[in-house]
Amino acid sequence: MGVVFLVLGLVVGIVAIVAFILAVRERNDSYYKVGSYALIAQAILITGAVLVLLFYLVSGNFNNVYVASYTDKALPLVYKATALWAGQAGSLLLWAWLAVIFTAFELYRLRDSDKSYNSYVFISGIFTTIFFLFLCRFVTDPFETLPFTARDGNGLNPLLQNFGMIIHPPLLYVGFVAFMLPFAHAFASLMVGDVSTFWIKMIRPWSLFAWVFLTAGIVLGAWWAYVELGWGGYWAWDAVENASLFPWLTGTALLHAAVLYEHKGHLKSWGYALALITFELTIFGTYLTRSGIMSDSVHAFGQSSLSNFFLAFIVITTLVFVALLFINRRQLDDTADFNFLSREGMFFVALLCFIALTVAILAYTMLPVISNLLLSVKITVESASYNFISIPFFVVLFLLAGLAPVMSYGETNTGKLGKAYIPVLIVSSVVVVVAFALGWTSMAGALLTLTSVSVLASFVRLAVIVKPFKNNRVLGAIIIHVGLAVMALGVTYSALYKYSEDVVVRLDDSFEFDRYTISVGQVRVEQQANYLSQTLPLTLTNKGKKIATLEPEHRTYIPSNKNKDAQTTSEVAYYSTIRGDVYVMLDGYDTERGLARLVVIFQPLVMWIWVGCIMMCIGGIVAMLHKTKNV
Amino acid sequence: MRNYKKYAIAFAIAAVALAYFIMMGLSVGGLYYKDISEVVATNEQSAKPAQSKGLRVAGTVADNEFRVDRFGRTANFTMKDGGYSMAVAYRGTIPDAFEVGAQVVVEGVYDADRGEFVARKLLAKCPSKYEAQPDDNKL
Repeated sequence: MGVVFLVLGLVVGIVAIVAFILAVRERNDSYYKVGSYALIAQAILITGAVLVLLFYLVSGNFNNVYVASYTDKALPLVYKATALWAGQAGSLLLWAWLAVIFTAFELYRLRDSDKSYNSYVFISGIFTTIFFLFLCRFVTDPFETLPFTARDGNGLNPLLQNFGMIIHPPLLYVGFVAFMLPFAHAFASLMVGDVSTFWIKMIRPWSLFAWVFLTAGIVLGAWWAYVELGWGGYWAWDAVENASLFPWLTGTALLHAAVLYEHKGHLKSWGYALALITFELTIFGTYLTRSGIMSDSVHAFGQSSLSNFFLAFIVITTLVFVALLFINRRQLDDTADFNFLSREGMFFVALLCFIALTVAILAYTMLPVISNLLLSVKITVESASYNFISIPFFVVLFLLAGLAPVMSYGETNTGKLGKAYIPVLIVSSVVVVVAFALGWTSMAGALLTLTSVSVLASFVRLAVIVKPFKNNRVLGAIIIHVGLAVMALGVTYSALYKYSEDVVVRLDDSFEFDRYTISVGQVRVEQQANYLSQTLPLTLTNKGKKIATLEPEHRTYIPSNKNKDAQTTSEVAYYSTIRGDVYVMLDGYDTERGLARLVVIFQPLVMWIWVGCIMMCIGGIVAMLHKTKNV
Repeated sequence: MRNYKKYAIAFAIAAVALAYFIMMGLSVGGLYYKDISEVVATNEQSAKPAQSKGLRVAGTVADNEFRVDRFGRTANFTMKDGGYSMAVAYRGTIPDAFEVGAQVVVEGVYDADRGEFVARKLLAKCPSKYEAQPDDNKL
């Protein structure tokens, strides 16, 4: 049943592309109509395929390989449904579905604009959809059946049975796929040879939309790692994490390049290049996670033949796009006057930093491969190297973000600049001094604090001056940057100043940690739906006042499939305040000897990361609501 | 045309800074990635210690020697890969996924005299969603 939808989806996709090509060549509206209907049909068919797979998963159709591989009878319903993106085949189908839905949405949004331009947007959207459908049909088929019906499935890895699993992957996928639209519009504008600001205005909602989802998805992944993996961290510079960061960095650069393009006509070719690069990096990330070349990642990847298809797709689309840029090169000349000491100057240097940061992280991520090719030794780097390389670029980026709002477009009067920037600088310096007094004395910490507080102060100052409540675009930008500063402080302080203790303590005894007294209770064992829970209750008191009860837990998952082994996971417990988190992991216990072993961590300002992220997303949504004229 | 000159200069500065930081960062946290066969066979003088803090080695936890004290946070085990095996001594928090047959990555130094890899970091691979191992379909 699902296969029929896939095959028909492929057929109507090809029909749509042919129709749109003819519509452009013959300037014929009836071809355009045929293409439009075929696109709608494709959207309906792929939706059908997704629904069929979803039905198989929820109803436990263990004749289906995918269902049998990622679910079992004991799995709670919500994880049966979300197993749609637990495996490769399902995620690729989801990708195709999102691509076609987004493309079909453009059918509505572009109803009044030039039909040739539109046709090219649809062609690139449908082409991408077909690529993913092709992979679903011929490489990893989500509808592959077993020669028999299994009695039960493999079940879902316990680490994936978490709220994060329900929401983190789809957020990322939506973000990734939405970056296809800026590419599609850039392609269309080059095809029709119209490098005016039309396409850049058209992509703004999409770039913001993709950016908001990617931001939320990345930070939610970090939060997931923080609450689930039990090492007290949220970011490990793992290859897969980095893969989601690349398009975020270039996508952020694209948003800024688009402002230069739209308002000043500067760096047009950069706007195009960043639309291309961001799109290719979303595909590249998918390639990276499936190629098997990142063998030292904590995410284990199966090497699969898929990687070659991804590589081919990237090479072909890039070559076509670069050729188009070359053909249109004369139109992309940058003639308007350009000053570094201006808002666009800050933007330009920021673009360089974003790109440099992407290249640096990419180089380190790919280092085992690169060094193996060049030197025949595999060299890899620890988190320390990533931190080392990203801190200077982030310091410069925050410095620029603090400066840009006090500068004007064109040319900046240095006297005015000083008058506006000095208060910002004073506020930031005061915060740094206070932090020093509180014992937070790292050099990197001081620089990051100085610059991120300057972003905060500078944008708050802007908000006071321009009263942006009628202009969503400016208001959104202000909220995003304030959120960014809040998050930057959270990351800086939690990463640089966290401290942890390994504690061995008698059950029913207590110990001191930070400003708290932590009293240990007795281990409680309970049978839950599909796991056995062992919990150690801890009571947090401050000066005799009870503040919270923390319940770090060990879970033993017993799969309903008898051939599978039980798996254990640790569930951490934490107490959050604006000052920081007390984070506890139950490392082990021995009821006979009456001892428990705990890892207790204090991490300053962790909550600021989550709050900052929420602000950034809200800001992005506010900015998206802005109505641009003539769109 | 004037703009291109400005852009090019800024670009060059950024490129130089980038190259510099990438090289510097290597000395901060660079590790040699070696197969077990290379670690066990080569003597350690061949590795350039100035440039590297240690080694990163991947393999599978063998079942012949497996002494894990989760409570005491020590693990002594044998890691194997491609027909070679290596004894590992580790001290620290034991990851949940660490068990016989698990794919692990260790970081540390190889003590050639004792024939033992002294690990200061132990990562057990999260059997993530992208895994496509053939024996997964053993139902």
